[in-house]
Amino acid sequence: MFIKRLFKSILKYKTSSILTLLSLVISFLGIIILSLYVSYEKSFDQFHENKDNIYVLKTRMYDYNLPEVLKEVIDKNLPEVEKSLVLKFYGENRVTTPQLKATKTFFDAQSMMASADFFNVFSFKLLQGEKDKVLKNPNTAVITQTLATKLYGDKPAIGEIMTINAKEFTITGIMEDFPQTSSFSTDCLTSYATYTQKNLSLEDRYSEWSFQIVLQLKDNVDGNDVARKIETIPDLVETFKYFKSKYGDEDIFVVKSYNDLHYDISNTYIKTVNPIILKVLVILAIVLAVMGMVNFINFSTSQAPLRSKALSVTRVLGSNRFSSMLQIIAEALTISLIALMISLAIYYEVYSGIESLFNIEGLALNGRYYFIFIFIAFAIVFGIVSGIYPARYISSPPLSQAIKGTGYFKGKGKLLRNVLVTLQFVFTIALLSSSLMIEKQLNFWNKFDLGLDKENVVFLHTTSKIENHAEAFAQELLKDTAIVDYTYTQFIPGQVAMGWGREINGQYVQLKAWPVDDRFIDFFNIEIDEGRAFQKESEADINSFIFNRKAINDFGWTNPLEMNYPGFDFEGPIVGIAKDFHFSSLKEDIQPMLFWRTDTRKNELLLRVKPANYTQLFNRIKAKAKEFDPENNFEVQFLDDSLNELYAKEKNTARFIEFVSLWCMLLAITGVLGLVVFISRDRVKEIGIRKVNGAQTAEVVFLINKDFIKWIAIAFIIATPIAWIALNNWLQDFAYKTEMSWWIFALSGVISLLIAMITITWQSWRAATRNPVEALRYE
Amino acid sequence: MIKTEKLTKIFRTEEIETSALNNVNLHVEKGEFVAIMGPSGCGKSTLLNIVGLLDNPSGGNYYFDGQEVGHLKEKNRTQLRKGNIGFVFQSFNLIDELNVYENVELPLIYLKYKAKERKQMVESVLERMKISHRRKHFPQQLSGGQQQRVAIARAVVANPKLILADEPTGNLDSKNGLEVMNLLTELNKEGTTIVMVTHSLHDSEFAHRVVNLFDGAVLTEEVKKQLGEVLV
Repeated sequence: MFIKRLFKSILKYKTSSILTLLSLVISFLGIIILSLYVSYEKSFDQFHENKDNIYVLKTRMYDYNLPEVLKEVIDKNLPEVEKSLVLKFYGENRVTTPQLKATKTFFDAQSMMASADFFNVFSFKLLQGEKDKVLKNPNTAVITQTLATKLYGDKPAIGEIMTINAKEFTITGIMEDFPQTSSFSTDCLTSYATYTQKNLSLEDRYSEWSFQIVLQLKDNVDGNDVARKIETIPDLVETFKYFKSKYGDEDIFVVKSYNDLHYDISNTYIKTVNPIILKVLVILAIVLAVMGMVNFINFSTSQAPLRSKALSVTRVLGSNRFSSMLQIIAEALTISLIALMISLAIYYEVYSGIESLFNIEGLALNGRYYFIFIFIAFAIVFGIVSGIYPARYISSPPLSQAIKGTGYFKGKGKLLRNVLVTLQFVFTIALLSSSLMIEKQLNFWNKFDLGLDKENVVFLHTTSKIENHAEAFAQELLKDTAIVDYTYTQFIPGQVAMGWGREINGQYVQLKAWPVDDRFIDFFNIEIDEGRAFQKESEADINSFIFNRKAINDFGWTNPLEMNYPGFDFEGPIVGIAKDFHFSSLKEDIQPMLFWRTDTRKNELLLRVKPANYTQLFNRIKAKAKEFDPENNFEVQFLDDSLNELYAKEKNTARFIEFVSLWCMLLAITGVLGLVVFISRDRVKEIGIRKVNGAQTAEVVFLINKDFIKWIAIAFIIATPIAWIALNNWLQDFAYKTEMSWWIFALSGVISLLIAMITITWQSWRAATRNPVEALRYE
Repeated sequence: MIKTEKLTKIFRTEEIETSALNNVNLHVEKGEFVAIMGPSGCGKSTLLNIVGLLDNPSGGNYYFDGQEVGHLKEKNRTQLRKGNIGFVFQSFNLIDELNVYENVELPLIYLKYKAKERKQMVESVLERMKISHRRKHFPQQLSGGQQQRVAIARAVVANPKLILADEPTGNLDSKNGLEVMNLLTELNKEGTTIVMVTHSLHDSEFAHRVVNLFDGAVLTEEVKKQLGEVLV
């Protein structure tokens, strides 16, 4: 009986029920997706048993890049350290087995180097092989199950040989694939012993800063204390003297707890997430919940005059106020649960689409089925909480007035409703201006003058066969009228990965090293401040250097052009100083760097092209490359696109936030729409009277719009400073940032106003064009 | 001033079609005071709405001041209605959120009078309707008679040529009713044409002419007084 009455009344107040349902589905769907995403990001690296004792070492100057020899020094000197690891990420490589090679089968696989205690420190699961032994010996490797299947099918892999970039390794262990929620992952691990067997000199070992050091500390040891102790180790004092003099009292070493690693966006080796973004998303989820509730309360209280009359009839027949309230709360609960069901169904259909659209993961339930219960509990609480106020409100008029259905509610609760709508527009305007600001920052990065001429530049990765005929290949390409110029280098701009640590005249310096050919400086129009560029078409300058201004200033050199600088097995003269330009992400400041003139590192070929049919041009370049190396496939890319990828992460999160903002806006619009429907209904008589007295349709529409404009203006005044502060915080993170502009906020206000007015007009137009005779017949 | 030819009005809902007016020919001279009488549902109010340009007829012609207006668009009807026709309703139809002054001012706003002119016109009509002492009050704070006087004030404030009254005394006691009828008579004397729908024989005595409507058609017309004859 109760249930039947429940559904009857939900169906009876159709407009209200549909609007409520619509706004709840929008709200719930957003909450489901955001909470799954945030909880997924929060679950990263939580499966390691030792996670509370694991720290990653970094330096103030060069982040996570360290010389591997530090591990030895730390092990010897710091008893607080239980175990330590050296890791090095190699990225993608070609792997195969001797058998597969015969059929020319290769796979691209990620590989990394790890020292022997890898499986003791981390809780990754080893399926075959012994924890303590698998990475102990030189030229051994552990591969994941997936790679094992690729390489060996069903056959046992242990003891077999695999090659990584033509280097042979013996498989000593098979591990489970890395969990999705591990910050780093790879397809195969090679032993650190492979590296140490080279017996490099101590000087060489100190000069290669490209390794990661992981420390597992004993229980109850403070990571920061350990970090501070490192620089005092006698073996290291000399090495870090220079930095010490530069950074003064600041600690050179810092540790990052493994629990926080996933949130350190400066770590480019692993999967990270911006913690600010996570916070924003949590706030957005709360905003969605609040907005959903606001709509709910608004819609149900605007039904009050009708509901109150109907309920009072049952009260005249003997039921009491409490059961009236109970009915309204039960209705709220029912609608909330129905909305949840619909939301879950929609979620299930769209989540993978959203994942690929914004290049994010973690929206699948994937074993997190307990979330269903959390959502149900949420919907129940939501339904009850948002039912209480309307229940009290609707059942509030004394029976004698309720039964007449007269204007008891006139003006009552109107203020609250207006405040709630204003609140929604506060959110909308703040979100909208944030989205615009993020766009502006992305655009700023895109348009930034890097100090090198990157327009119309394309590049391709070379192979050893191309490198062997580098000049011939380039000359062949220049025959194409669309290709104007070329240069060979080891790295394309934005991806300079080599760091050099060198001792020179008793001073230890660290900088980025960029091996380039004789044409590079000219090719990119890099300005030389002092001295000269490398001589073109001459080998005279081989192994000489050009430094950037930043390096010279940082190192405090007064006569650099008279200095020789140590390379690998040579020393070379510094022939010029380049004006500072941006060779890496604009998220960071310009770092000290040098160009090393060499003909030995032609990994990348950059071409300056004329505007042309690029598809055809790229095909011609690829075909030509294939002539020189038939066994390989080539990819030609625009440098611009590759540079933009540096900001891909920001772009994806920006898009995601923009999307959620629009989602919130949808909710605000539903809210306004609902209010206008009800306001138009409540003012039917007034509109009729005004029309009889000569009001034109437009004047009536304006009348209804006017009220909302006032509230949106108030929302604008509240939202602007909030958004301003939040955005300022976000921008703090970047070295190069756009300016905050007033028009962003003005535009957000105008857009919100326009959208609200379109919604309002659409509805109030219907009310205004009604025949006033009908309206007045209501009386 | 008003001339209808074979006026018909048909209301359609999904299931039924009701004919509210059936070939009504009505003629009202300038300066006349005409009462329309008849039982409930005979089409009195429908006729009044069409005459008042609130609604279009389904068929036939309607000439207002010699101009055919039966097929105008809503926008043009509103335009023509403004300032030319004033309405008085049984239920007063004042806007609850506006006070007496603002209610009366309403038609002047839509006629785009300047604030100063509006003030003058509203004050004078309130004075005349003997309601100016309550100009700041809201409709709920007034008696029925007072509310109807405000409604009449609003109907006449723009000096319309025609006043349409739909049972103006229906919600009033006899004393207040008489007062309203006297007001209407006075306005008529000053030259305003009045068409009034009423149930009350007593009220119809104030008119020059009574048109009896039955089932959407004119049944009889009786002339009570000659135009120009001094009314009661």
